[in-house]
Amino acid sequence: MILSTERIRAMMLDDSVPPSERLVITPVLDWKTQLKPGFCSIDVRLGQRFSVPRRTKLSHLDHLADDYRRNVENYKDDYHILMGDLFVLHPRQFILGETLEWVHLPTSLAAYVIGRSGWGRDGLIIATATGVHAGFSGILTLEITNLGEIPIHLYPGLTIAQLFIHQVEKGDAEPPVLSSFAGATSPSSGDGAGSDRTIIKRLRSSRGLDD
Amino acid sequence: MDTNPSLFHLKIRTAQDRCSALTTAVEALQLRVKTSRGAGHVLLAVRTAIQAVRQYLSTQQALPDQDLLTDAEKEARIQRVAAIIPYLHNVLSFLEHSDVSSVPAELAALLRRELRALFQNAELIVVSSLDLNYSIIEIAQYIRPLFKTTEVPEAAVLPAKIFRASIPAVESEQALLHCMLAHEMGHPLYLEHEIEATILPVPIDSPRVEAVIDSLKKNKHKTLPGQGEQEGGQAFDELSTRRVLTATVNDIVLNWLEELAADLYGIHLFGPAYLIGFIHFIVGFHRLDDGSQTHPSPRLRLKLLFRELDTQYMGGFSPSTETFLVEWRAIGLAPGGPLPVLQELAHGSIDKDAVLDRIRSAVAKSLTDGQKYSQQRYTEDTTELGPLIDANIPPAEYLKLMETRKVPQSLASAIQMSGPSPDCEPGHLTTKVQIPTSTVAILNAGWERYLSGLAKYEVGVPPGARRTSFDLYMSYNRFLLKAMELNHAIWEWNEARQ
Repeated sequence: MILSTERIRAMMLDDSVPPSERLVITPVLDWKTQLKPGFCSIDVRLGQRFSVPRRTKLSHLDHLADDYRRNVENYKDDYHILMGDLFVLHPRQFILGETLEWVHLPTSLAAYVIGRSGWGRDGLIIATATGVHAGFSGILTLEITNLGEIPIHLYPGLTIAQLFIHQVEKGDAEPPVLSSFAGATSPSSGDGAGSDRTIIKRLRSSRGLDD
Repeated sequence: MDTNPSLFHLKIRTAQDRCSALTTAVEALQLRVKTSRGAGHVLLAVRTAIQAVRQYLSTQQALPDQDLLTDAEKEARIQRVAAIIPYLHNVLSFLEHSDVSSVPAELAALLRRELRALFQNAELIVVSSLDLNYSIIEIAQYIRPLFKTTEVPEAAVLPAKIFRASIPAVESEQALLHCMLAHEMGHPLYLEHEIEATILPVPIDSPRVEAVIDSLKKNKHKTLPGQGEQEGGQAFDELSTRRVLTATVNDIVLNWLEELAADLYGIHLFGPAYLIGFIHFIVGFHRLDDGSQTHPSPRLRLKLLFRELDTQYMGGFSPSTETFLVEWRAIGLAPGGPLPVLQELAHGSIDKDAVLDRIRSAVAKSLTDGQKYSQQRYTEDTTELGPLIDANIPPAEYLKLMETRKVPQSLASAIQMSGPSPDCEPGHLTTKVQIPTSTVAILNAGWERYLSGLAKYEVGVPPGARRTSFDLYMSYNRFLLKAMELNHAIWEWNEARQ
């Protein structure tokens, strides 16, 4: 069940709930514009940090490579754009951004991020990986790309996406696994292959497809 | 009269070329993101000076009666303003490593806020350096006379004070250690409030001086630093020795008084976080009883800091913080080891209840209650913000709705409203709000949780980010820096809204 705007507000302001179990989205710079009645969501803003792949150094990204994660971390440029300053996103450019807000979900709530349609109509696509797991706490990394024809100015602080929050049915019997993105303080890359890396490498090997 | 006409024009041309190079450098610096607004003022001052130099050179070049002047006269005219060029390079060097890649922008912004609460309209530049040291110097005093002596108009927008704070580059992400900046803020406060005059005189321990002189007399080959080697067979120069000894010990005493006062400013401004940060930073690589001509021993500094802590913060500490403080208080009060003779004389003069209390009183009186971090604020901050930290929520604002306050309607519409009140002023609403915290609040709550062992915080950190205790510590510091970043966003946004 998706939470209404009023329910989101009430849960965020409920002092009787200990912080660890409380829905916290901080800071909300403008309650009135970010929590609109009837929208069943809370708008989130663009943060100040951006991560741009250094294309001149990377020929490809191979998730099976042992040094995949190191390549991603080493061959990117990190930008810290102060409020009032701008970041120009050119057509077909892909970057990682972040939400200004820190999102803390209790284990009874999960969420998903969707770009605001106003930006979409300019060709700006936000957050292709949208799910926020129950119990997550951190800033949300936004995958941002400009599919339009014209460069777009991105200003930290602008509302750029919306967070829909829904209740989780009775949880799993086992304790939840902590997301690798938990506690993120800046845009972070993931490890797409993860534990599947070893198996797929063996499959390749069995087919004689070793490099 | 003009025996070497090309010299005059060469000087002008090269001076103009130097101005062009400086202009290029200023433009390049402007394009790099600056963490602090003080940098903008410095760049404006340099740009203004360059323009003035260019204009003057152009005027000189176009003077109609140049032939009537000697080479020396012409050279003197050019030199009058060209001499400023090397100094402009030095001024630009103040900005080295002040960009966001070198200094956490959130730290610079929040430190500026703290400084402007103490020095009205002051500006700040924060740089990182490869020294394991924190420092703050006021640089407008060096820039301003530069313009006066060279007859270049002073930049109209140069603030009364521009502080240049330096943090260790290697430790730039160590939010908790940046408490040391509170001590550095104490130095300009010490000068501003003329604390030295309030504390002095500090008599040097006469019997001990006599004992040192007697000891030197008996061993005629030993001299004090600054006297030079005394050859065997020469009569002992008691007058010179007394003069050097007195002057040196006086210098040491004056230096130590300032350092001790800066420590007290540190604890008044940043609360127990300063003392705890001091212990972790200074004692980590300084021997407890190692002083110098400029700094007293850490043990003496601890003694004074605890004396102040025990007066200002009586209890209200968590068990783990209390345990930590008890242990280090005992260390601070324990008798110290032997010191070099001159430091021993200075130490003996200062380490007296009357002198220590005089320093404490002078510093305390120079600050208003609003400028001091009170016990009430410490208790509130650790109580409210500690649980946030445990839950991995950056303590950028108090989540608890604080006391009702009157806010302008334009602001109230953007924050949580509890409704208007009949006794409100027109155009205002009463509302309960979530109030932003402060740097000091974040650091105090941060240290308090750190001393508790971070067991609860650690649960929310992915295993890959806490493989070692240092990894966990760095994760925690980045988390606190994030709190500062979010805190500053709130302050900035609210200020822009008004």
